[in-house]
Amino acid sequence: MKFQTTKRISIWVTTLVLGFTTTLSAQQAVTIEGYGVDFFGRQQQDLSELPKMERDIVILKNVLNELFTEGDSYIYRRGGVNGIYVPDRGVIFNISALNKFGGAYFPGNAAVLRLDTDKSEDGLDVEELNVEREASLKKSSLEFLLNYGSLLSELKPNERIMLNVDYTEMHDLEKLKSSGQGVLYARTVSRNAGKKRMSSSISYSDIEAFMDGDINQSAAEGKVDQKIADLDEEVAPDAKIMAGILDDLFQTTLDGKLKRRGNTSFSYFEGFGIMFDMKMGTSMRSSTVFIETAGVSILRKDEKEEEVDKELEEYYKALEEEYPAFEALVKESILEYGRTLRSVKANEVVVVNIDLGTSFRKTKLPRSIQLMVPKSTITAYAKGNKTLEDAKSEIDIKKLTSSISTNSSHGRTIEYVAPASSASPKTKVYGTATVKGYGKQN
Amino acid sequence: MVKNSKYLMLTLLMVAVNFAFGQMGKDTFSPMKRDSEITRITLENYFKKYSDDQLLNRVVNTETQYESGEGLKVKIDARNARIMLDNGITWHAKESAKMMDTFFDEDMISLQQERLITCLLTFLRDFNSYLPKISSNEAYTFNFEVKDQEVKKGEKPSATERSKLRSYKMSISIQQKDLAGLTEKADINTLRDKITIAKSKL
Repeated sequence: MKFQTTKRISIWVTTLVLGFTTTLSAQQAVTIEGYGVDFFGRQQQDLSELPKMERDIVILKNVLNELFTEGDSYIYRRGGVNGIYVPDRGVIFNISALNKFGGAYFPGNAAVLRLDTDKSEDGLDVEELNVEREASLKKSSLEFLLNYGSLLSELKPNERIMLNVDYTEMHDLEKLKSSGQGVLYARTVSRNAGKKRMSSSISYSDIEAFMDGDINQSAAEGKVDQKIADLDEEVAPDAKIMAGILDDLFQTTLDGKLKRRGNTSFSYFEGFGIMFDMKMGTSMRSSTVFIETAGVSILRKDEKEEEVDKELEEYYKALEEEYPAFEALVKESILEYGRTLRSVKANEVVVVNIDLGTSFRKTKLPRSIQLMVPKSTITAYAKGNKTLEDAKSEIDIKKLTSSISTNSSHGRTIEYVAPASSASPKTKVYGTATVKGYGKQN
Repeated sequence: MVKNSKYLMLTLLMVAVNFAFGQMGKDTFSPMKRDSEITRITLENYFKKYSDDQLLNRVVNTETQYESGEGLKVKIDARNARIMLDNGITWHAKESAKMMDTFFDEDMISLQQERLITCLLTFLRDFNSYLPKISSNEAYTFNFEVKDQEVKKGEKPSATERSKLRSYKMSISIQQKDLAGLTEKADINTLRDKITIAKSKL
């Protein structure tokens, strides 16, 4: 059936394309909008094949995106949603929140907020807006933990669910312009001013008690630990040093085939550990431009493109062969230099997220990887109580076919973890035309 | 006065009981609310990310509602995929309408429906454990509303004679007892035999 329908559409599309090419140039193409998947890259793994805990986390990340996306704002926001299970500690989620006024973007050094408000400029009170926003984030955090936390049914009673919401508080309102329709733009004084993190956590035993009706809503809310920390004051020098080490080590790697994109960032989560975020990319430039809109294009290929494709193919093949060495280098680097992370407690973990970018869709490489190692393993290796190989074997590694973060700037997304053995690249060729998907890429 | 007071007392008691039950609903954990919302979000994401075959729809909204005795109803707003030239950077309502009319003939609409059904069946196979628990005499019903996308928010797309073909409702139901105990390895065709499909004009 699948073959038949594919064949039918391919015949139709080919006919359509050939028909139109009598009047259109070779550059023109037909697009079927509404197809938001990674179509001409790697095959996505079925989410149902994941272990339950991983699957539940992915599903809850999408719930978080829903809860913290308010209105129809399409303004970019930084970051996305992270979710990770740390054995014996619990599950930690981290989200950079959109605020109720719309989104936030960062031209230059200023955080600019788009305020959708009925109030006039003179009627705006920054303090009042901050209080309203904080209350809204608190409410959403409680709703998430109490109403949806119970989905993580594999958690042990003593393990916790923690939600961290990063946001920027406005300290001063500098009116930029009013664009009518009640839309006002404002900005904070500096980029780093007012960066906050709201941490909310609850033990799974308390969630179970709420589910079983042993405690009511208000009692369950009382069991949630909520606190707000000023992120500006929380920069640990040892974490900053480790981020710098990773930056230096991975400036270029695999003979320049992989290059670092941007600086490594990090975040400490009390009771869980520290998480580093690195971005790597290719040194080659693909002729394909990826557009973050949903759609499928039917494009004719010319000879020049085929030459570029061949060159890329060879490059990708070499990269695939050398990729295991990259993973080994990352593991060794964490073990060698992780000992400098003195602010991470013995019962916490060190997590390194590496985003490999969108350039490798035609390869078997993952879109991103996540490595997690207990700090106790790093310490044991540093003291000579474990061999390098033993310590490496204790590093948990996950390979994902999408970015570590789930970003909602262009609609809701879902993540998939790559299968143990990667599937072959998937490209559909319809006669003389190749169908390419411009799906949302995380 | 004394004679009627018992009715007054009874009324007050009923009001108090209703209030207590109302508060209980608000103040206690609701697996139905949780699982309905998780189903809604996961289903919408699944349709947006479905990669086995190209869907000829764009799911823009999903809503769930539970009705006792009937089951869970999921409304899926599945707009017709736009067919565009030149990579579809700009949508010209009048010019594109011709393209839409040409593309969406009866065969293509049949294919469109087939793909929506297949996508839903795979979702049910893979994620049935996340659906809200309902009684064995109730059903899960998925109501697809298929129509063209709005040119601008709130603005109806121009209707042509052929555009009526691609504006329709498709309702797919499966009884709880047919879904219960389904394994993730289940054959889609087996599941297909258990659904009922009803189509009507929008």
